[in-house]
Amino acid sequence: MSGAKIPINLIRGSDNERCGGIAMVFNIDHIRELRNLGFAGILAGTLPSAAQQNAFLSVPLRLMAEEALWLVENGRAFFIAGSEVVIAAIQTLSLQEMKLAERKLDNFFAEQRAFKQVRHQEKLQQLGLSSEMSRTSESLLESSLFVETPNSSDLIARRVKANQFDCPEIQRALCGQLRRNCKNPGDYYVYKALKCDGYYLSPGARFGGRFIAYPGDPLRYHSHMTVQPALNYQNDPLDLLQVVSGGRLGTGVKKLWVVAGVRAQVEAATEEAVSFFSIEWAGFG
Amino acid sequence: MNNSSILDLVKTNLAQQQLWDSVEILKLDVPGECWVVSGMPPHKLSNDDKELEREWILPVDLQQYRSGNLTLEIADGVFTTLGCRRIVLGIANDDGTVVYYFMYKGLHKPKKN
Repeated sequence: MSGAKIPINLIRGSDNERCGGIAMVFNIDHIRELRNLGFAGILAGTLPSAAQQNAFLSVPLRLMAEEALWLVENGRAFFIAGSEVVIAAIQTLSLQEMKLAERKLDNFFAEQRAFKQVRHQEKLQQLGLSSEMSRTSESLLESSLFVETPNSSDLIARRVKANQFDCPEIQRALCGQLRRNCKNPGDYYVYKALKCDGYYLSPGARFGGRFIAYPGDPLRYHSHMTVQPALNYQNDPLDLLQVVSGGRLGTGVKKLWVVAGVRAQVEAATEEAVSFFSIEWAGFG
Repeated sequence: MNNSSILDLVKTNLAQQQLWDSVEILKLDVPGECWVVSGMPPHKLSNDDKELEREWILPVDLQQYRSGNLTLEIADGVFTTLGCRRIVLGIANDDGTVVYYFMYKGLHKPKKN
């Protein structure tokens, strides 16, 4: 498994025009691999009919745009875009294949029904009751049939080859699209610099920042810092009102309030191009 | 960054309200009228500090209707000129109060309580 590139789906939301896509990973093995690489992401999967609390959410894993870009630029992953591909694949399905799938499902139910009927008879015998199947027990049996929801569609998987996206031109275009749609392009340099220092990063809205930085896996460590949206090193003034509100909040939750400046002239920014400053309340005044 | 107008406010606040010793004003050798205040705090400012040491305060003006002019480049310049590991931002409000914030260069660990 490891070594192979991880496919990241770029899902477009309803506000298509302004959105470069939301990066999602659907395979549990890939999610494990990402975790080992230092990407926690946010699990986002739930069932519409039985919505879960966020502690119990499941696949897919949602990644920040910066995380997805980092993975693709470092050759660990590649983007798959467009529901069009899946829709096109669905349209090529033949009636025969659909029928086959339906028959498979029917067989699955029939097996379950047979199994349950046998169990039911055994139970009635044990209790010494008449073994005639009543109408109510039949409808109960129907409602107790197990419906399996597969993680991925066999029929479509056979048609869509994920690797067809893994070519440099497509990947470059998709990266560009994602980056253009980031509100604050400097954030990606900040992300890269922190990633390089070994931090795990999560979205920081909970503590009023762009990122929260953990010194290790978020399940093992508390975060140390809330990182603010990147500033232009030469031109952007530090917003002192933000310093005060962020610094006070940070002191309350034991986090440093970190601002990062990205030097403007360095377009292909390396780590040196980002300067960090850590701010906290001095404890008086 | 010209911060000369609030120097006296911050100096007085440190000396009279926060009870710091030997508070003095210095002009920094950086572009613009940039001044700092230095002094000795009455006690250690953080549990992580090894000993009581002279602190450097950079007075900055928090205005309601204009953005400030402290960029990270200027902050970097102050760090380089003073050669210290931290500076204290003395944020002067226009109601005359001053609040103080530590600023460290680079990534730093939160202080122990």
